Amino acid sequence: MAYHILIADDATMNRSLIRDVLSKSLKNATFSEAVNGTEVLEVVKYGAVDLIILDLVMPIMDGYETLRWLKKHPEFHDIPVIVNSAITEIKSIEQTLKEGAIDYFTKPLSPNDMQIILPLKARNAIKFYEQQKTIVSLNQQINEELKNANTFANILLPKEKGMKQVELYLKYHPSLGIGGDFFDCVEIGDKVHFMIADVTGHGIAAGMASSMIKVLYRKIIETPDIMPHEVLERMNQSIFDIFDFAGRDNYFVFTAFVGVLDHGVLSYANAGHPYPMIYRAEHDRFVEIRQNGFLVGMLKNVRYHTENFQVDPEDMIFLYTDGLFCACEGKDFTGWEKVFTLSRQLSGILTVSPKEFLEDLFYAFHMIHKTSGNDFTDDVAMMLLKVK
Amino acid sequence: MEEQLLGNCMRLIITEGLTANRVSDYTQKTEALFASDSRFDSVVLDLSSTKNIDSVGVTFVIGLYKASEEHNKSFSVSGASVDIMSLFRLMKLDQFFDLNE
Repeated sequence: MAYHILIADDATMNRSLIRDVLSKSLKNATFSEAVNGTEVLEVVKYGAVDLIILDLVMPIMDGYETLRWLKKHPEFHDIPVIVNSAITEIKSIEQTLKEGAIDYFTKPLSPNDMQIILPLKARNAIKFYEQQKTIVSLNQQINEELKNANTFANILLPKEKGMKQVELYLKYHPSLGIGGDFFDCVEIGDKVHFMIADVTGHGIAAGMASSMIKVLYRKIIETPDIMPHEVLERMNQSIFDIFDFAGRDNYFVFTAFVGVLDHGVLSYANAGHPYPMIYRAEHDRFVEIRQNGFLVGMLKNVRYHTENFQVDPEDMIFLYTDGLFCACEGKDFTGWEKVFTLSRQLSGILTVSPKEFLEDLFYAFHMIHKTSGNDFTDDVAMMLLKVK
Repeated sequence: MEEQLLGNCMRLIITEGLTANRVSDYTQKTEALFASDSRFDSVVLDLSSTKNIDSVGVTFVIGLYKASEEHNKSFSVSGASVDIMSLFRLMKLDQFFDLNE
């Protein structure tokens, strides 16, 4: 591979010496020269440069200003700069390294500098630059893939419109473009089936797992009159039947809450998910649905159980994932009571606009995290069903 | 994570968070422990110094419980905060191992 090296020094002899040293030790290197900082900028703007050897004391635009200019412009920021100067004061060396120079060596060049040190420094700097370019390129590819994955994930989300028995409101905020939170809501005959789940971890692997959960869930609820505890047990069993790593490597472990709404009766079962809430419109208050249950995918042959709750028209069932209240590196997975408190405070908005309630609740937690110097670090999913 | 052998009880003390960024390190240490050490017949996970736990941390605790079972050792958790105990009860883990204060 060919490398292009720019040598910037106002002394012709210095430029020739460095060019001579590097051309002997670096195969496939081509060279440009500049006598001041202004010429350096012209060269980098009009052609690819893989390394700059930069003198500090130059007329018109010195090496310090040139270095600062390069590091301020994103398109040139990553080009490695090795400073070569007669200035030996430690403050000068410190300043140039702080400004972003990758290395510094002093003039005049000793025989060891010429034969060993300068060629090695140049080779290392070029290698580092190649690695940087590879990382940037891979990041771009990954971001592109994440965008595509996000588009696909949005297709999997339930549709808010078109249900006869409930009004559905959703808020989904994946942390990395695609996430492990999952929710679904579908009318089958007279019944409304819904589920919210949170796969361990987040990102692409969790996103793939949540896609599989969706397919599994939709298949299982085709069984007539299936109860929520049966949905969870079948999902758990399916994971152990299908995946030989189940229960061992924890790739497919999730909390979940499953519900069925049938003529004013909410039947539900919980698999370790943060307690959902029901807003009782007549009483203008929230009630938590407190049921405990095992995670799905961790232990074989676990049993869940279905409980029932009477709901009335205008009542609302609110479900969410722990990413709403967890933040920072050491996430607090146990702060779900904050959701209950804040929801009560926002109940006035809920009755007027459920969509706005979700947005305001999300924003409230965003501000809580921000005041602690944090932000959302996990996927956030919220689902609200208003009984018609 | 510190290991203390007290009689025939291996006490594992988590000194930092039980969170995703640390769990793989804990997992490696516990796997090595079970592979090499037969001097203990019970495992106590001490969470008295742990304030933070996330979903990966929970799966670590369950994995440790299962590994203990596979090696015929008893398992319990001690010193967990009120919040962490609530979380374990939400997930019904108290049905599998003791949660001691």
